[in-house]
Amino acid sequence: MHPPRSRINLGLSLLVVALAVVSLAVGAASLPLAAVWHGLIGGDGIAGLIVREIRLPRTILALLIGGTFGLAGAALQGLLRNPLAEPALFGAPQAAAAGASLMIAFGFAGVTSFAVPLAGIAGALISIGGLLAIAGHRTSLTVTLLAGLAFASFAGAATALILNLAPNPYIALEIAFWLLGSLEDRSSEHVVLILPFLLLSWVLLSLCASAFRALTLGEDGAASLGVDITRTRLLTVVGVALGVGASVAVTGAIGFVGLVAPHLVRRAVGSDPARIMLPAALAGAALLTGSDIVVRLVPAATEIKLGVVTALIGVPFFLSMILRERKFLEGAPA
Amino acid sequence: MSDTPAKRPVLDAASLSIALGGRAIVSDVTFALERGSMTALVGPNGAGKTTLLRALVGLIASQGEVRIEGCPAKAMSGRERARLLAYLPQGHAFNWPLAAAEIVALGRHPHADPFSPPTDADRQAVARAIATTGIEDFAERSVLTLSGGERARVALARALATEAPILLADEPTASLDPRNQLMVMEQLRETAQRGGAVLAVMHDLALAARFADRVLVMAQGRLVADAPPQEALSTARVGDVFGVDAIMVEVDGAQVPFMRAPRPA
Repeated sequence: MHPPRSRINLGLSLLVVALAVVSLAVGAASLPLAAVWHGLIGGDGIAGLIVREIRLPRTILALLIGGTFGLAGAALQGLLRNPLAEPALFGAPQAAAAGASLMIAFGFAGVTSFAVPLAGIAGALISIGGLLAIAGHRTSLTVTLLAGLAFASFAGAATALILNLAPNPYIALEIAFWLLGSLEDRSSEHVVLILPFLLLSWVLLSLCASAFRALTLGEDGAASLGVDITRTRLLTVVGVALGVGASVAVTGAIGFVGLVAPHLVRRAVGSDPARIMLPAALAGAALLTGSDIVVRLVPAATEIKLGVVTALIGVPFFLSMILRERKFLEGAPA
Repeated sequence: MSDTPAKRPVLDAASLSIALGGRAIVSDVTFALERGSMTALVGPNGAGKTTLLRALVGLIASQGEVRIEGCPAKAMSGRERARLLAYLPQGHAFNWPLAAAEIVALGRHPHADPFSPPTDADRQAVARAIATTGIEDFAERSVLTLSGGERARVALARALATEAPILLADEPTASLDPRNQLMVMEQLRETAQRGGAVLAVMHDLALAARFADRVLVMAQGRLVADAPPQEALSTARVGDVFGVDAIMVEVDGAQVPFMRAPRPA
């Protein structure tokens, strides 16, 4: 019915590699491909420095974090059996940002300390875990989205309070900018900092793949096939929180990649919630890397923040999905 | 499995009681299912039929003991239980537009290693289930584009693909047209004739009387009859349990209750 999945994954991988190369080449100083290659393999000089020290970490982070968001979105959609599920709609990045800002604002930790991602993960864990606890086993879309709105609003209020109480205005301003979401000036230290959390997140979410497929029959149907629903929910919550929390701790709030990425590949690979996970992760990596290229190409006095771009693309996209699925949503169990 | 004596119970429920939210829904129900036998479970709305089925599947907690092939069900893992007992829930809801054949393949989940592709045994079981239910013509179509009757047959094929010795079906004929009702009932009976133990919750007493070898009648959480159809669904019992005056009609040699009028309350 659909073209072979391996061919789609190969195509997406090639796209990701191409975007990564472009991401290494573009910026304040555009570099020819030869210079990029020379820089990558350890060439001296300013080009080597730019590629290795500035653009390589930035590109790796965009790939890793974009992939994680794509995977997290696909996983939440699989668990909740709903194509509109997305970490940002459940307040996860917002709560992670609140946790991370708390650490930074009051000087509990430097920006490259493990305390920041841990606080981000804790924030995401509270929002996603709390949300699924409230939504309960019926996972009605209305309840889930309303609870997500509540968590996102509360996380926003908590962040505002932290800014409000920040010990000095410079820190408050710094956090406010950081919250917009960016990959500017990130280093290989950041990569090392979050990679373990991201890897664990990928493993936990991948373990749920066949359970997500079985959930096509609903929770009772899946449970009757031997799927441990409680374990699946727990693995998904922890997996998404680890991925989103750690990512947000490095980038600031970035949303909607998890909504857009699975949707873009669904037409090509079909709706199977297990089979969509790898293509969704690749599409997420491509999306975030592409967006990060766009923010560097837009001629503006200050660089436009990545989180701003993903939200500007993601929210209209979300609205268009609501419009398209309106009939389905109106018929959905409230 | 062929060396198992045909009449040994494959599922035993002993003194099963189920409470939901502190209220007793099922009280002290004891019965057994045998291989090669089709059993109908009937009773008025709220009698506890679906709750009983859900407890047998392990979806809700129960007191008492359920034994599957002689082993306590509580000691089994979810997958072990799922290999022995297939469950066809009410409503046939599918959450994603998968192809019908992909839905049927989900029935192999309890047998599958999640990290390896389907085995030959899996593929053959899926092909058998598709052939048995006659859904070849739309096996590659998205289930969300199928009619209610087609979906019901896909759902049945999915349950059959597990090739479990026990099949529990909750209102498998609900919201189906007469032809589809008869087709589903025939397929359930064939499943029993191939050696399965089938238990189906039914609201259509005439279908239950025609197709079941045995009928369990529940009322207010208790089992009030466990007998062959003619005895379990006598006009007197239908009157007592359902509050309906019935007359018996002969269909293909079977005495089948036909509902005439509700009894005055």
